[in-house]
Amino acid sequence: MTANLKQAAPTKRPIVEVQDLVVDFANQNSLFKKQVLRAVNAVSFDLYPGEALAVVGESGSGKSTCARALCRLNTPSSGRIRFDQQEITEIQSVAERLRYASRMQMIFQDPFGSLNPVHTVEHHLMRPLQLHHPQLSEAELKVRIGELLNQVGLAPVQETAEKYPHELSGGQRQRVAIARALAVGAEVILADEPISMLDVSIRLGILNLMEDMKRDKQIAFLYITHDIATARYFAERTAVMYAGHMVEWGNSESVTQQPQHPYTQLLLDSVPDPKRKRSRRQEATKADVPLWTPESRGCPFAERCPLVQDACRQELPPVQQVRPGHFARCFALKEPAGGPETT
Amino acid sequence: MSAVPSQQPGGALLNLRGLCVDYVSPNGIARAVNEVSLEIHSGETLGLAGESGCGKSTLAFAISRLHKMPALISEGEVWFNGQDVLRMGDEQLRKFRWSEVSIVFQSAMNSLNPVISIGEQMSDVLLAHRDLTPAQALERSAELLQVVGIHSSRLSSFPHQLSGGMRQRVVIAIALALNPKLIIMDEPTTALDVVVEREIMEELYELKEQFGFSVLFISHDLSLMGEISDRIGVMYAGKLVEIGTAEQIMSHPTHPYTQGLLASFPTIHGPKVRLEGIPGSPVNLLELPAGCAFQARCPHQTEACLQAVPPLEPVAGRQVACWNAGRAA
Amino acid sequence: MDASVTGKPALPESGAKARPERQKKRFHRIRGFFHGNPPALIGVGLMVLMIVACSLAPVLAPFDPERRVARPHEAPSAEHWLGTTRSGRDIYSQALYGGRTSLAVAFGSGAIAMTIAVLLGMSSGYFGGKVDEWINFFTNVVLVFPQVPLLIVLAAFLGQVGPPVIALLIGLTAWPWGTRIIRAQTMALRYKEFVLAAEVMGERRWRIILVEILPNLISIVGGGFIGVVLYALLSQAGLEFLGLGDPSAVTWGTMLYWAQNNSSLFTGAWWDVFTPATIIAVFGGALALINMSIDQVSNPKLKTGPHLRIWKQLSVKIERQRSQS
Repeated sequence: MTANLKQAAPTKRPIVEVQDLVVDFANQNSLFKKQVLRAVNAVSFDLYPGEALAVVGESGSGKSTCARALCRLNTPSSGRIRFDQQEITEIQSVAERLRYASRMQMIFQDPFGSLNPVHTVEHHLMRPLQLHHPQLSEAELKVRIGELLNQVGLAPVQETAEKYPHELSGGQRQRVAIARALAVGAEVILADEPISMLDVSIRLGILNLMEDMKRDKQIAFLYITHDIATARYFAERTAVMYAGHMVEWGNSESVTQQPQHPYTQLLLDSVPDPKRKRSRRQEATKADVPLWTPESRGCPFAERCPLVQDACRQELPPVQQVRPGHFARCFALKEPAGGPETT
Repeated sequence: MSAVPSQQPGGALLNLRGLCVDYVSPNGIARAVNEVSLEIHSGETLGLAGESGCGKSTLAFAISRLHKMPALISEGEVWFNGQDVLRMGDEQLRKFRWSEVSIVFQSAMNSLNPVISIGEQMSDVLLAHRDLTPAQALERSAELLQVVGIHSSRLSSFPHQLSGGMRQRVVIAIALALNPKLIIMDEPTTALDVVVEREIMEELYELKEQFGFSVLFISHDLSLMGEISDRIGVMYAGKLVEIGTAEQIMSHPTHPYTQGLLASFPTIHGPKVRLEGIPGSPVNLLELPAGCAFQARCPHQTEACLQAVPPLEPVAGRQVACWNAGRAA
Repeated sequence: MDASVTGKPALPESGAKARPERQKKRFHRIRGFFHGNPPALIGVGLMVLMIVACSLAPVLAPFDPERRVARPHEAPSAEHWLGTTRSGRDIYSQALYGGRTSLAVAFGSGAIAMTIAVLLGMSSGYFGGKVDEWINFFTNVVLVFPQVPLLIVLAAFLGQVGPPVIALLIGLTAWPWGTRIIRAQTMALRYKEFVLAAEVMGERRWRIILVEILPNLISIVGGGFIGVVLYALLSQAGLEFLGLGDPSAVTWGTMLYWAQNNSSLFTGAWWDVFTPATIIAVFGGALALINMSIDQVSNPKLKTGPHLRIWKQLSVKIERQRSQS
């Protein structure tokens, strides 16, 4: 069965719009110097209902920080985040915060950590329902919980509702986490590496469940991952991040099959492929991911890039369209609608 | 039971015969490794694939008798280069470990001592097994670091001062210190980013060509294993369910579990199709069903599967433990 | 090893079955705590026995503890099980009635100290920043004071203090240790994903602290409570023995005070000293055993169960088989 490949040319309005997001962290490294780390630098993206945007990057790329800024676990240092036309940085009152929480939820990476070990599954689903749908009676709550557990494939519901997290497997715990996000009634789900700590054979079950949620309930997904293959599988659009910058983004097929940015190419080259020849030379220099500060200049990949020029160390490359729906930031790009053949 | 042989059968470097490792837990005795027999030849890379709870890590530890309470090796034999490992005395075992077989663990931060410098840790290993002066040991450590591509000025660094990839390379260097014939790698790159993983793997290929050691490569990442291994074995619930050449396993898997496992990896290349993975969850070792352990999750389950455990038998050029092997291919 | 759900047949989904199911689970968990855990059994058994006995003092005590009912310093006999004091009062009755006060003070101190510890420790751990700094500073100041000498000075300053004041004194000086530990554990849990999930969901902060984080700290709070109770029991007895308590009250500590004052050991009336000393020691021991068993629950690796014995037996058997063939 071939998946429904949706092109990234959106015909609907975005539900989340992020413009020039910057997130800084103060790091008291030494006694006198207070070092500021720029985890996310000038990142812009939109989320559309019923579509997934994958953010791919390695550790330290800032992808998780983006997601956490969206659900207000980290405060953005500058930039605009709009949810359904409303600026979320302006939310002050408790009531507004609650309402925002009801529309945007997060699924975390560690299935062992995202559920409270002393509470049953029922409690985990009861709380969001009580918070966001206080008008429901006790009986109605139980019915709703049963429906949710069924939707995420955790039947028989009565048995599951009474279990404690340590009695469930990793995959089941993630399903409860997804049910929790749905209980709230979220229209946007931020999934921070939801499958990377699960057993291989269970991962697809969770991804397919998320796909069903996306399609049936028109939920917008922000899918954070380090595995570009699952990004291609699940998301219509993919963005690649490096050291806090989005270096390439667009239609998933386009980005993964014809990558333009040298970092994306490096990433795709590194993915294991049993059919490749073993004696492949890596072109990029071995170096660590740079620590970006507000004073840093130029392209973050300059240290490792095989195509580095002088301009790369001076200023951040501007956004260029590579082909319709596919953009990258690189001085070494060839003319749009063409691009070199890679891999 | 047949008579115990007094020398290693066959000519392989490592030979496991009917190895069983049990865990004594408060809830009963779980058989983590269930009658596993396999061979590794000189210079060969054998990949061992499986998910959590399949017994592959337990197997790795048992080979050099590193398993701790409450695990015990209840049955079987471990032969290495003509020596019976399970009957070795303490002194012999100490000499055996690290100079014949060494291990690279998953998380380098767990295997490196955080309060001792890298150079000192490497020298410790050398001094413990060879007759060297501390200065000579340090010199040799510098050489080893260069072999894995780290500058010798890093000898005085502490583990937390190195990046994840560098730490893992240090661990590999320590594993190489005494020129062992077999290196066991237990998920060596799982905790690393994919680019760093690629660097480490490239490093590994070169080292293998240079030193010619065998590798037992344990991982859940079948595509990585397909690249590096000569042969691949797949484990489920403590049993070896399929073993063959990398080509055979990756292109034409016969066991339903192997097929399901391969179908759990979305690819970058090739057309995009909806994959299903394997339904259900890995089986609880304390509640094994009668018959084949995979029955609950198998799409080809038949009556025979519920009755008896299928033995490992040659099918289509490799070994498979499945009653329906011929049909499922 | 976590249990995974295999293809088990579905239970009938009726609400009627749910309640006994949950109760059965709770019963099993409580039973699991005691199973293979001799310290827990002995400790809890002793403690419950003594608490019940002391609570039933009006029923169990044959005499009024403050009235002279026999000749002074009579040895233990059928009528006076534990003998009499210098003033002719029945020691057995005194032990029972005295226990009520002593235990009330001990548990009261425990409650006061742990309540403060939970409030300060959790606030410090959850909110961090300036709140943490100030609470830490305050905790360190109180921690630096040597506790028992402080108690002695305060008690002497206040004159002869009755049991309620002693409870307050001990409670207000014994909380720093627990605060530190609770703070550390709260900080460890504060950034766990289930707490973040609750925040993202819009939960109120006080609810997160009390409902999400606190239940995870029960074993620490319980252990800390038992620790303070033990400390309070002994400190209280010490204060009263030194004469800083109210000598007209009947408690285990004042029994020791009077025994000392009346040179009971010197005159050969060993039961006068023996009784309160042994009771305090036994109860203290029971508390210590309970604390030990709580450790086992929070760290299952410490659990010495029968399975380790089985492992040893099997290993030895296999070694022998191997060396023989």
